Amino acid sequence: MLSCSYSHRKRPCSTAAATADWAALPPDILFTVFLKLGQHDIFCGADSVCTSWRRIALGEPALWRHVDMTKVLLCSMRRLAIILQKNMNRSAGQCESFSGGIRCDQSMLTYVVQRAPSLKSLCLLDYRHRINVVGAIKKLPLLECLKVAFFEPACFEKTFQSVCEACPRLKKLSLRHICLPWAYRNKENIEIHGGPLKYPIPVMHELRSLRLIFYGFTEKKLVAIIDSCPVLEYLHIAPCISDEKVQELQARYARLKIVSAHY
Amino acid sequence: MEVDKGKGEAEETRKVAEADRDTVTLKSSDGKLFEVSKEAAARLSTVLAGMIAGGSIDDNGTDLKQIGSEALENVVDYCNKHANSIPSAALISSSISFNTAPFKEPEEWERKFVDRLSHDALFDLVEAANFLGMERLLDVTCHKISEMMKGKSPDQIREVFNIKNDYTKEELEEIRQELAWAFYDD
Repeated sequence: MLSCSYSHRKRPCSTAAATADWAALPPDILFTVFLKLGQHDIFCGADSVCTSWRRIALGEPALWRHVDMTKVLLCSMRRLAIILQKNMNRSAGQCESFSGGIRCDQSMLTYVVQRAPSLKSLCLLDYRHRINVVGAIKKLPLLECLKVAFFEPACFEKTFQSVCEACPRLKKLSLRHICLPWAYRNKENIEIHGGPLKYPIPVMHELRSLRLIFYGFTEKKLVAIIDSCPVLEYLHIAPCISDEKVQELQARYARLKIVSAHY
Repeated sequence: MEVDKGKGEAEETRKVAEADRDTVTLKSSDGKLFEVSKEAAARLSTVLAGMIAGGSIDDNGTDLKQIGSEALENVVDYCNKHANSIPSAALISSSISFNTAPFKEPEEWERKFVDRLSHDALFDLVEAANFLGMERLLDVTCHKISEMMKGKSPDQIREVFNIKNDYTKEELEEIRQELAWAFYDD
């Protein structure tokens, strides 16, 4: 109320700033504003307002540390690729997390791997692009967190093994097999057998959180996986085994919090 | 009129300060005095907390030469509202270096608090919050400023903030091409 009367005193019916020089907003404040605004809105306008604002938008790699392509909607693949390039250029090699979304293809992922060698977190949704996830993560030695959803992978167990072998230092891993509901009912699509892991994983010394959404893991396989992850704290599985078996497993591994989700 | 009010407040402030040391008195660049709860000031502002802990608080009004009376009034108002209306609202430390860091959305009253400000007042307040190291107030004011830019073209943003387009012809052409490149499909 007070400030309203203040501005009215100075300039009746004023709508825009009367005296404040917004172009000269201190850089650390503008930086915070830009962070809240989000990358897409910075692209669409804020970075072209004036030279001092542009200096912040282009000269602060920290603004571009977390690249999330899932927020870029309604544009062609070509434009998406250009936006990604600009994002990566502005991050100046400091990008730490990348989320690709449903339209991220192999060429985009390759670009990210080249331009973000210190990536710590990678989130992908492989929607029939046949992305070479394993090839990409081999080139990311600092990767700590990986989240991938596959549509119809060739063999989930083999994929899981390859991922673990490529990145044995992961701290958080989430692999999800997305396929149409009726495919689950057709048991032939899923290799369920009572034996141990067909493709054993290496010891994952740093893995604390593991999420495996796939219906083919039997109790024996889960035991083998847990035994290969000495510091595992959280295991999230699809209800591939009965609730009683989950309770048995939970009783056996007190250090672990096991969540069995129902989809 | 403002001066009279300032003097009145000053006398009142001194009386209160003598009786009750739970408050601190702050002096704006134009000499007006404001009183704020010591607890709230220390909790919400790292700079004031440092001054209180270091004993550099002046009972006759601690000089804050960088902050005008209107901005300081808003700062004090914010501190008092924060202390009164939501004592339980824990401050979430929002790390600036993380886009994905949990930023607690402004509370309803915080939204109203910044919405009623003129652009000038908002500008002064965000600078004051920055100067005093008031993380939450800085968050709320920066959030408001970012909302004023959301979904707007460069021209619209310039109009909102009364910013002059200071690019050279060549720079402007470069930016125009860049925008066309990224946002208009063939």
